[in-house]
Amino acid sequence: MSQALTREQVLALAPDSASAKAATGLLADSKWVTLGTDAEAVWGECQGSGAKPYQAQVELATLASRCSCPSRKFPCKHGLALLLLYAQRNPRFAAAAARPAWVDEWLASRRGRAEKKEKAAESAAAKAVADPAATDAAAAKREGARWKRIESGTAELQRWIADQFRGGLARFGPEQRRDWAAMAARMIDAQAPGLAPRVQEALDFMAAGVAHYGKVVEIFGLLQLINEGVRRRAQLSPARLADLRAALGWPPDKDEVMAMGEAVTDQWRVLGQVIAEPDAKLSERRVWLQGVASGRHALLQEFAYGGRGWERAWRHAAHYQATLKFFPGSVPLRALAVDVAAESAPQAWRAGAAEAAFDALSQAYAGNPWLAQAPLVFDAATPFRDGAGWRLHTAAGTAGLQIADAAAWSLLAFSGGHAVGVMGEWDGSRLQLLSAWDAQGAQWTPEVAA
Amino acid sequence: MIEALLKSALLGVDKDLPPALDGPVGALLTRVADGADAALDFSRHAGVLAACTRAAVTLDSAAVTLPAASPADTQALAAAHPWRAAVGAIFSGAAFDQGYETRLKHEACLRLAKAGATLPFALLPQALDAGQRNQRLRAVLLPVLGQRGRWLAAQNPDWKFAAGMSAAAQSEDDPRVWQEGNHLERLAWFGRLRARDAQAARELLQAGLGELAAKERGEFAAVLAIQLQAGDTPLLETLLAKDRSRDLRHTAARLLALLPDSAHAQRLAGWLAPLLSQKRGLLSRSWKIEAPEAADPAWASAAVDAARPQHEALGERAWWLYQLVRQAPLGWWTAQTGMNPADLVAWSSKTDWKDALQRGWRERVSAAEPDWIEALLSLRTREARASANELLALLPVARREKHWASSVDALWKDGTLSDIIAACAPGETLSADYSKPLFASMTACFEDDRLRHDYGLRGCLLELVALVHPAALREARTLPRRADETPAMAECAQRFEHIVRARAALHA
Repeated sequence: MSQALTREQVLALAPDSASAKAATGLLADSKWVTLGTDAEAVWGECQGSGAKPYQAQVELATLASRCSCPSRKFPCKHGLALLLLYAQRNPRFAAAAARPAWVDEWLASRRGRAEKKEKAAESAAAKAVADPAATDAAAAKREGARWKRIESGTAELQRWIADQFRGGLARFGPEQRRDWAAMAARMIDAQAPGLAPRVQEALDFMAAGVAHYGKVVEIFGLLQLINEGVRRRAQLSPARLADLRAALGWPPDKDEVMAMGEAVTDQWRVLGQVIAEPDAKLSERRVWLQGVASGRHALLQEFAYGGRGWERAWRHAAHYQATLKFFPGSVPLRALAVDVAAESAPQAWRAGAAEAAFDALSQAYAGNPWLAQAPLVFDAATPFRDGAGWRLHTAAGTAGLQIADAAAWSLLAFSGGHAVGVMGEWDGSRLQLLSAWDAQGAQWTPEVAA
Repeated sequence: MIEALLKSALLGVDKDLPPALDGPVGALLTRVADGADAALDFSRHAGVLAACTRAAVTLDSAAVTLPAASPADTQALAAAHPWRAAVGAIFSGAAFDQGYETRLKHEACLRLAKAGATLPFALLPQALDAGQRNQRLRAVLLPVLGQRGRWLAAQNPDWKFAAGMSAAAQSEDDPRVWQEGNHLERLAWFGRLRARDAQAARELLQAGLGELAAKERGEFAAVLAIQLQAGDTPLLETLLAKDRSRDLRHTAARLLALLPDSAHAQRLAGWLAPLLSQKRGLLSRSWKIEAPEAADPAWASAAVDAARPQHEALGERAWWLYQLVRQAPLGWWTAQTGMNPADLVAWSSKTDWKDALQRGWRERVSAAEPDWIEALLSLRTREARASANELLALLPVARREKHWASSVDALWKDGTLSDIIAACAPGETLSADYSKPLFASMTACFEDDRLRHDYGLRGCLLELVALVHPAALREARTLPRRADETPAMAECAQRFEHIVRARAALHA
């Protein structure tokens, strides 16, 4: 794949068009103190505004990148520029000396992480086999302690919600605002971090005005289901218990998923991806995949704190041969990717009809009402604008769209009033589009690098 | 379902539960309520209904009227086209265009139109935004929007300049423009009509005069300069005599002066001729000019003001002379004296009335009189220099360049660099011969320290590289860069290269 890397493929990796543009400005030879490559990686030192050049490096198999610059974009402009130069077959790569130590270190640390992960999974499995009783006892003790804290936290939340309803939402004022924010923080202390954003979201809806109070009732209702679930957790099925833990923000360890998760090997098509920045230090990337043979949908959810980048790049609309290990639950969507082969040749792939897709969506939420998001993919939808904003017309009816104006106009330019295939994320009540394609296979994503 | 709970949730839950529901959901609701705490039961209720709501993804099934889909559009620049990246870079620029960004857009549009291609779909929103902000770009943008672009423009009121009617207006000569277009559209349309059918245009203007504001009347009347003919005399005479607008009377007077058989032209010649006389010297004859001794009451009907404005630099008699000079056709002077424009201008400098003469000529001169323009440009007075840009802009590019130095250094020193930029309209480039040494001197700027503190020069270089001849760009090499460059220098170099790359791609 590294041989075939094209300018378009590199630009498709850009997190936004600003990065892509900035990268094209770094293509001057004089900007680069060193450039080098070998079978595994490509690296270079780019002169920035400081005295010391930035060290940018990209692992070729995964296109994972790292750079010593302070940017929080992955890849940053230096990483992109480096790949662009590489794609241009810049002659300086051929003449390069051996791999410098800083590249070695990074590759080794990546390998180390991967090995550690494997070992941990193995040892978890081995331990479970060798001395199931002891492992279980220790784990059960820790789990028990956490459940206790969660139980007391959710009991408090349960009373608190009932109190809000008793008093009436119309009473909401500055004092309640503080009280609600305190309650959100309290859920973190109770080791149920998944509940805090839900309380916060309810608070945001209250602030948005009385037209949104219905959403607040809904959120409180769903929270109350969680509270009840915690109380009655002993009676829940394993899958439902997994749903509950995911909603509480307490998913199983990755090692555990690697060792025990349901494995599905397939050609996975990248349907769409989105990067969210819930706060200043944290980035969250969600990549949606669909298996060509299995038809399964999967979500690769990854968090990056501070300066760390993503595990690997997933190119939009590309196919990858891989095994996914699914997190447990009634509607298993979230997964971890293992053994990802290099991007494979494009496969024939077709999305289904809108009715079936919305039915499947209803089924997913019937299976787990706490799902944070579920994918929606179908073959024909016409985006349009009316007085109420941006909407999507489908054979199954018309849906509102969560979309910024600039992205919406580019979608409209792309579709031209014709039906296009679409992929989006449904968050329980709203649809955010992540990609669209036309009959000729041309692709649209919300941020198209021009 | 949730809505049924809303009233209680707002006002506070006391004892009464919301109305019971039928079916399995109703049964479930009854089961989850334990009756101990009404508010707690209410929240369980809300939970059940919220879960039901989520599991029943409902769409709006009301009929919607979709806009008709855009017709097939096969001319859009293909993704694999060698220009695609350059056009993309040009149109995905910042929201607020610098001068050179508009120039690049202009150039890209012209190139696309020449190749019979239209803008890629993905760039249409940015292109339409640019057209919305910049009126001058519209004329070149409209032909490259394609079916998809015109369709898209119709979806957004901000882009109506490019939708349906208006687009048709500027691409063809649809008579509806006269009734429905805005002032600028009507003016452009009227100009095309005048070039095609001078009489029809005159009659249309005559019929429509009553509905036009003074400023608009003036602008439409000025269009009569295109194909000016004897048949225009009656209309212009009426305007000169009767219109309330001083500007319009002046416009009419200037046009009439160009029609030798008009009463006004003859009157004007009658006033000027006695002021110009020949005196016999020892070896040769020479010409002498005088200013009027007194105001003529007849001037009032000829757009000549007897009263000198309060802050006028010219003296009273010079003011009178100047007003006569600015109306008289320049051809009158060459015919009367037998001198060529260069000699006339040189002669005027030696007279007592040079300021009045030269100022009048500068206002009278038109693009059709390049010799006069060059003669007036040779003057070095303060007034002459101040209007040099306007005069230069009237000259064809190749004749302008003779007045400019050909290195950035020299231009920057004598302050003409920004004149060059101002004198070139978007879509115009400098000649290949002039551009070559200029471009070489531009790239040399990056080698030394000139750009470090000179904010203005950095800006000018970017403007300039957008208007050098494309042939000069073929010799572009990587810019020499200083190791100690500042971020501003780096940014300037980066943009410079970006412009060179994009333009070179468009002209490859």
